[in-house]
Amino acid sequence: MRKTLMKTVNYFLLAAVAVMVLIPFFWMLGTALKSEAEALHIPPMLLPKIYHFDNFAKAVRAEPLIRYFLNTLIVSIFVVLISTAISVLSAYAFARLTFRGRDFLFAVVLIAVMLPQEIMIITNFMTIAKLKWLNTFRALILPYCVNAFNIFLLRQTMKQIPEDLYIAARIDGLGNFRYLWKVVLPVAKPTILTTMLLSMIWIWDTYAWPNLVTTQDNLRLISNGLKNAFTTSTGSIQYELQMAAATLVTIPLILIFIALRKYIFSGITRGGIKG
Amino acid sequence: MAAMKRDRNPLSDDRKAYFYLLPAFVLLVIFTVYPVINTIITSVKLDYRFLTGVYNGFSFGHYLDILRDKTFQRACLNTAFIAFICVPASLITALVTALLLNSIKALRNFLTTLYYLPQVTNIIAAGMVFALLFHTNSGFINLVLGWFGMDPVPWISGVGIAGSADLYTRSYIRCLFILFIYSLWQGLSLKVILFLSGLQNINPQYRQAAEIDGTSQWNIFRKITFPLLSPVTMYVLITSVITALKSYASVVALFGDSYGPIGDNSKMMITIVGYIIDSLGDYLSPGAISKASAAAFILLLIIVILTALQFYFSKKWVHYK
Amino acid sequence: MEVRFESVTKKFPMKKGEITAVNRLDLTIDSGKLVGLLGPSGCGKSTCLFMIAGVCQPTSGKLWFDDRDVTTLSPEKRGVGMVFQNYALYPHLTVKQNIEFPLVNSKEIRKQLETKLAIHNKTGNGKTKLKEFVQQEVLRTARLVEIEDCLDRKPFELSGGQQQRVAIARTIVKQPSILLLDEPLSNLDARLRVQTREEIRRIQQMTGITTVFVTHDQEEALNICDEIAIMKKGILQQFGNPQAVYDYPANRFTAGFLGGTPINMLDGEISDGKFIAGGQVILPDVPIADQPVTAGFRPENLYVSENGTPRFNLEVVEMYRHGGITVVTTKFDADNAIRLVKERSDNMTIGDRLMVTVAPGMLYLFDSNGAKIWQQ
Ligand SMILES: Nc1ncnc2c1ncn2[C@@H]1O[C@H](COP(=O)(O)OP(=O)(O)OP(=O)(O)O)[C@@H](O)[C@H]1O
Ligand SMILES: [Mg+2]
Repeated sequence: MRKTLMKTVNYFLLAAVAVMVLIPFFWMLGTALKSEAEALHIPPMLLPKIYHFDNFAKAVRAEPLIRYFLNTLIVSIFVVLISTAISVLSAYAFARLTFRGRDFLFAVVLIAVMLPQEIMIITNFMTIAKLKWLNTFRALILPYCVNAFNIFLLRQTMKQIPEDLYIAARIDGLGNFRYLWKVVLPVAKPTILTTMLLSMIWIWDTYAWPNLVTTQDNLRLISNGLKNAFTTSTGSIQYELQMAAATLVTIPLILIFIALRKYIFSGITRGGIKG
Repeated sequence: MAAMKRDRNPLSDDRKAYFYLLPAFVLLVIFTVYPVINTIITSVKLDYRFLTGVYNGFSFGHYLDILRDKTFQRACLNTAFIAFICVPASLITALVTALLLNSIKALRNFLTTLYYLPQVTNIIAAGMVFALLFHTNSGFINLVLGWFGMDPVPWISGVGIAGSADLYTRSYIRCLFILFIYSLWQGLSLKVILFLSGLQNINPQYRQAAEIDGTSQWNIFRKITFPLLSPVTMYVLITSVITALKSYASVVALFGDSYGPIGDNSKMMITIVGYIIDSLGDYLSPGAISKASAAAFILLLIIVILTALQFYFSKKWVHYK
Repeated sequence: MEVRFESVTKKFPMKKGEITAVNRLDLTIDSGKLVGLLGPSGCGKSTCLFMIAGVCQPTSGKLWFDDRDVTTLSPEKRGVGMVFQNYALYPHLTVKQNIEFPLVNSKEIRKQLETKLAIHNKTGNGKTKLKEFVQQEVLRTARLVEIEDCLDRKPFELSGGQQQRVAIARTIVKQPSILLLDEPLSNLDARLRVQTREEIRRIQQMTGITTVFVTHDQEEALNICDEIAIMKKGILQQFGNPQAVYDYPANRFTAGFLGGTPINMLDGEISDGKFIAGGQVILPDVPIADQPVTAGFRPENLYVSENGTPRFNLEVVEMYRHGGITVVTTKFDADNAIRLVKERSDNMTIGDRLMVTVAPGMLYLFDSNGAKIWQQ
């Protein structure tokens, strides 16, 4: 009897949390489907009378969202590929190889994990400006190509692969690179996918840096584009379009996340905390 | 013993390792190590001009200017609010949620996935949605308040605050509240996952043994679960405090480029990073970059000190295996 | 293939100084033999295997495979196979993929395989493709270790014994000329351990591969090895046929290390050509100089007898039935207990006094350094 009661309370609380989490999504989607009049209606309406799916098309037409989206996609593909490759290689060296200065170099990585990217912005901006790379894709891609946290996460995971596996593979005639490719990558797959998603989110969310190094609309990333969009010159906001755009921006990552959910969860939880 | 041996790899490949590390370290040096050093140097250059590179000797003046700057003090206060009020709150909420999740079977995966959604939501989009949720006329919050017969609250409103300290404080408190709710929503996801996996890594035998001894649920949590979970708690705490100290985009998304309600020109909700970015904004005027650098270095110091303190205190209560 | 250590030393650098894992080892392992490497933890057994495998190289000395100096040869060129204590199966691959892993991934082995395939196709005038050939080899090996039913499973879906057999299959599929087993049975339960060790013996005899088998379980070594080598702190103590090492230990350490029931050790001294312990003359006539000595004799070599030398007058204080045998603990004097192992104990009770003697030739005397100076 007490047990059932506790269980009920338990589920009730969890459901309450779930509702809290979902309210912003609900309001975003709900507003995105309202007509302009409904969006401005006082008091606000819980749901639109008619679902205005054309808001999405309108939002896309009103602002170069597709352009921003493509820019973000280009940058994130490059960043994800390059930074994953770089992180995997260095994490492997830290996890498996012995060499002079390993502890020192790894300490550098750990410190880099703690340092806020925002501190680097100043000098990086000067570097990019001096290189005359302002308003280029290079400026948007390169600084993101090394991610100390991903190196750390991957190294933790790779450390958990038993050393005997490595010795066995070496006796079987595999070199380091082949071992990395044939054994480490598949075994560390969840963590690698996680770091990929984390890099992707990073680019999707990044705001301050692109805002500094790009001034042209055709180079804007989605966060910057979205931030400035749908605000008229008088400062009033077209909420239904803004929310439609926000929905469009949110959906891709959610879909990727749901597709890779299984790996992501085990990846997040495998690397960080142990050892 | 076995763990010790593992670390000693009989096959050593010194030189090859450097090839594996080369790309990462080239980028790290250019985009991380050098910037940190350069930031420190730039912060003490006087009248540094970005375009020509000339400056008039060295001085700590920027640090004093910043520390005296009302806007910077505001930035510190707001950042501290996020790091020391919002983070602990979301940490506790996440821990409780994870404990609840851990005690159920059905729907657990579904709920975990659902709770993770804010993490993969674009930070700007999320901020905009929250701004709208708290909108005076079109917001969901006021709609709900209306159901209970309450008048709409002007959540993000700067009307009259320039002239009245009282109105300003009220408006400020409301904005802090919004930030608090937003941080809770945003911060829950990752923490729940980490706590949940930490809980699942605890050998159930400890718990079973205690249950057989008749230990109460609260004591099981206090004496067994929480100590065994402490490394995870520590990890979550450190990473989220660091993240909180770096807050910027969410504030811009919630309150706009002026960091406050329309009508406010005190940059009410600015954060330290916001202050850095703003200083950097007019990089062509002499000294601006040095000021930004000085602020950045102060932030760096805060992070280092806080992290060191957390590590120091963690030795006392974190139970490592 | 014969394996020969020639004065091999292996040192590992440590934070402070270094550690000598293997010290001036001279050892010849004959071709086709199953040799056990025994010793307490940390004595350098694994290090020896790693040096044979080429995973680590001797600090000094030479290692020979037949007449070939392989001291610095890289692992993949040695044709060595190794099985690990915790199996080291690739967790993301099925059993079949695990077994074929070395065939598919090593250039060296692939080359050998192609040569073999060419011969195979010529003599049998068949037209087997490399891929099929690999499959045949995998299947053949899987049958040899009797795991052909689990080929499509992942390692974590197998029992410990099955995993170990997969590990063995993966190692022998490439037909190594030397097989190294590093405590392959220590993760198995007692029954499976006996079963698997017989299995290893069977496979070794069928294939005739020179095999080095590391264990710290002496019973295992005594049961299946042609020869055993006992090490202590990096130094080889004794090498030879298991029974010979058992009956003729070279020193106090090997005498004490081997034996299911620990050997009896009795401190005493030689005085005037007599061995005296506990104030009694145990042996009247020992041709060695006066010095303190320790006598060693195995519990199973003791039997009750009214006459014979040496003769111990003992009082039964404890009896303990242990499977098929009975361990009888007796009091020799206030400080020394002596254990006997008997098949049955019907006619004994606690408090009985016994006259006991040692089987001829089975009493050893060790000097204060532990070296054997005399065997009766
Ligand atoms: N890579 C290494 N670096 C430093 N010292 C090592 C290394 N490998 C082994 N040692 C040391 O060398 C000695 C011998 O180790 P080895 O692994 O050969 O022992 P073992 O006989 O196999 O022991 P066990 O029965 O515990 O497996 C030990 O003291 C060990 O700590
Ligand atoms: Mg060993």
